[in-house]
Amino acid sequence: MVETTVGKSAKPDVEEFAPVPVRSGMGPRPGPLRMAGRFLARTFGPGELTLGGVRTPALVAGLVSAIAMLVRLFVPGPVGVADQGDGNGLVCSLGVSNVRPWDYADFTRFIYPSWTPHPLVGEACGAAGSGEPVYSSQLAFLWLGKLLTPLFGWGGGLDMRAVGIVCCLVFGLLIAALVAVLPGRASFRVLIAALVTVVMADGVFADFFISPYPEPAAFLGTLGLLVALLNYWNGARSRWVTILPVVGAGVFTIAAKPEMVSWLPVLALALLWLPQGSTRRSGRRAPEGSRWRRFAMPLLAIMAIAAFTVAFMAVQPKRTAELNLYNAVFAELLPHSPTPEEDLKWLGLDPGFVAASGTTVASPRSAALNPKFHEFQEEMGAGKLAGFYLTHPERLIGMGERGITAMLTPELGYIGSFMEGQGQPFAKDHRFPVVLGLLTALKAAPVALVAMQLLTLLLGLAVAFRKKAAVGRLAVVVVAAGWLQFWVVVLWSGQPEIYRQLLLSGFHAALCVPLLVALISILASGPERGQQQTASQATPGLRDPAVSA
Amino acid sequence: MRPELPAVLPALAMAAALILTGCGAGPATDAEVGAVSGDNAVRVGQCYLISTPEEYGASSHTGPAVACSEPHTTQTFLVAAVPQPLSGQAERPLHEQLQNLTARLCPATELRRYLGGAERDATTGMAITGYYPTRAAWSAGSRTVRCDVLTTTADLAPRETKADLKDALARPESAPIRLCYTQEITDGVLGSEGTDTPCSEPHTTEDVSAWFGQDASLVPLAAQQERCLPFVLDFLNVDVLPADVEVRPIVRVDGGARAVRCGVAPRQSAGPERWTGTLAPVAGTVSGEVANG
Repeated sequence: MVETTVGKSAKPDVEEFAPVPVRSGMGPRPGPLRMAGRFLARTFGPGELTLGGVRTPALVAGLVSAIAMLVRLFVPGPVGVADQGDGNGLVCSLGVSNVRPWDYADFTRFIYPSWTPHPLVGEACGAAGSGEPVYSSQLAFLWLGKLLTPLFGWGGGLDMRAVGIVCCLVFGLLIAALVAVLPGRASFRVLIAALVTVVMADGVFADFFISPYPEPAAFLGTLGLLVALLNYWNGARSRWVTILPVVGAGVFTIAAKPEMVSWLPVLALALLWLPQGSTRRSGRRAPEGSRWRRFAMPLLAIMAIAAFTVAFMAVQPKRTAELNLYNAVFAELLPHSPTPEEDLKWLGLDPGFVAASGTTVASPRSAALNPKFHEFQEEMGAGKLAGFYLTHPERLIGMGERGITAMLTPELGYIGSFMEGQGQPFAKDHRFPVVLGLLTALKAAPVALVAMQLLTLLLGLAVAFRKKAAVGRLAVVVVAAGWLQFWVVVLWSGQPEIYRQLLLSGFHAALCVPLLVALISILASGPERGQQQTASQATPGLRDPAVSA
Repeated sequence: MRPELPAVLPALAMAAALILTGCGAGPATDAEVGAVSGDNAVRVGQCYLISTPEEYGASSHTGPAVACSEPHTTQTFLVAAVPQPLSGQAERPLHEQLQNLTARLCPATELRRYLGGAERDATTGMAITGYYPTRAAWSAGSRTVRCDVLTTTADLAPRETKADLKDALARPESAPIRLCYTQEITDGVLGSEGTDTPCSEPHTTEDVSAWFGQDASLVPLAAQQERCLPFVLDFLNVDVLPADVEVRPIVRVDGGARAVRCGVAPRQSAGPERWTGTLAPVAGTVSGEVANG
């Protein structure tokens, strides 16, 4: 191997034989590509991984992102996600009723954002089919939207456009917080925040801001949780101060919809992954008792979140569990089985149920109309379903493939995006289809999606352990949470609404893009420099490693 | 896979069944029809104001009854009881199981009987739904089914009315709930197909609640008229077709299948024109020369 020594004084005999690279970019006159690279690194590189000290850029970034989202949602006209009829279950608890056409085929074509005061009694309010109460943290946004609705002249009830405004403002706050807790220079932080905004602004996600669905709480709760975890891992403040937001954001996120329960194990691991400062701040090995004491607060937080999760799951409508179980067997397991009769036998069910394969509970061939349906209700449960897949793991391959295909089809073509008179029936909003384009392109090679997540995971681990940067941990958490979310959905509540249910997994996958940019920038910014520093700890005037690289 | 449709649709399908005599589900047994629970709040003839799809599609309804002289949208035409084996379940059956049961316990034939109609009377602007005990009431032992008829507009939304529907088809002013058809009139010639219209609106043909699939032998109009004649006579409650009335079938194409629906209209010597009202005889009479309603 020949060592080039450009820029240094070399011995004449070495210089005689040393090949000079023609386009090495290391000559006295660098090429335009390298110059552009240097410019980008100088402008957007993370520099020293310092924390704090960017209050004004954070505020500006939050404001701009909120305005961008508002413009994206409301100009030239509002866009949202049409209700399929189950929005009432959540929204009716605010004493309002949707103003929309009576017929299903009509009201799914457009969005009807107006809900007028009309208290529904009995089973008319609650989960469709049972009237059991539906709980979600989305009710917080809906309640705020109800307060705002009269101020915009949208009547005395609730207008989902007002909820959309609330969501945009909350998103702006989260972006400001993200810039505040990210490490590195302001330009780097703003770049990452801008990329997160680009992800959120895609119609497949943002349109839910103007809808009666609980997805906005799941999207924004996830972002809030990521910000809270970054803040926790930064370890710049007292542990209580940083753990409480994690608990709050965790509870809010899990309470968005039952499928978000997948966050619980990831959140537990994230909390037990103690901040760097608590393990190495002194540089000495802590006494045994002190080391365990450091886990006390995270464990307490995990117990609090777990207790809330158990309580939240306990109050979920029984009807939802019944439908999920039905769909898991008749809409997922049997139709994709090579031996449905044998599967029924394994499950302890009558072989006659095979006639209901591929149905929903409302189908004309529904198993619910089978006189032996009570056997299904008595025999089947989530435990038995889990046992089936544990003993038939090969089925998970096909299920995973179907799930990925559904995740790469995030556009819900069967419900419209526009208000009546402002678009064609069932027309979809394509104002900012960046994620849609990316996921659609990945359809050509779905394995690339998994590869992207794996790359994010590996780079995250590298950044977490080599650079001691919390962003690396964040990447690990996002990928793990996305995968868990994916399997919870495909195993339990996927069919028949698998496209909508997997949007959250798609959101996690899309967040890999800004994370990848951040991770690559940090890894490329120079050699390991130990753990990230707070602004006060950073040495002023340190050379920018991104430039020196 | 397309997500499941809301519960409204099965009931709307039952509304269509009202039009098609003999095509509805089997009638409830006498025991079921006659069974009225001890729940005094549920009685035949009570009226309710139901205005949202959620109220209409729910398994139970606990809203208060209103006076039938006040604006209302539904009226209870039958009170029945959930039969075995579902009635034996400790927990209330699934919504879809109850919906399926409604088709049997609240048949269109019972509604027609409540409306005071005969076998050849077809209605429009109505849909049937069944309300069951709440889950708590079911656990407490109630098995009562409340069969309600909803009055609807052309787009199937609820239509408020102050009318009592009991024996409504037997009254002279029954035209708003009777089914008629409007056909295209081009150069004095009637189109074969017709769209549903209440008989109180201008129309060309009145339905007599009889239909059959159209095969090659039923392509000529004369053949259709001949096949429909007995039903028209039955509708008019006469033995011989009056001179001022003609059999006027229409063709309905539904999902590629062609069906002939039998109809009747006043004979119009100056060519076909739209008319208003019904040719149905008022209860106890034969067909009048002028349209009622």
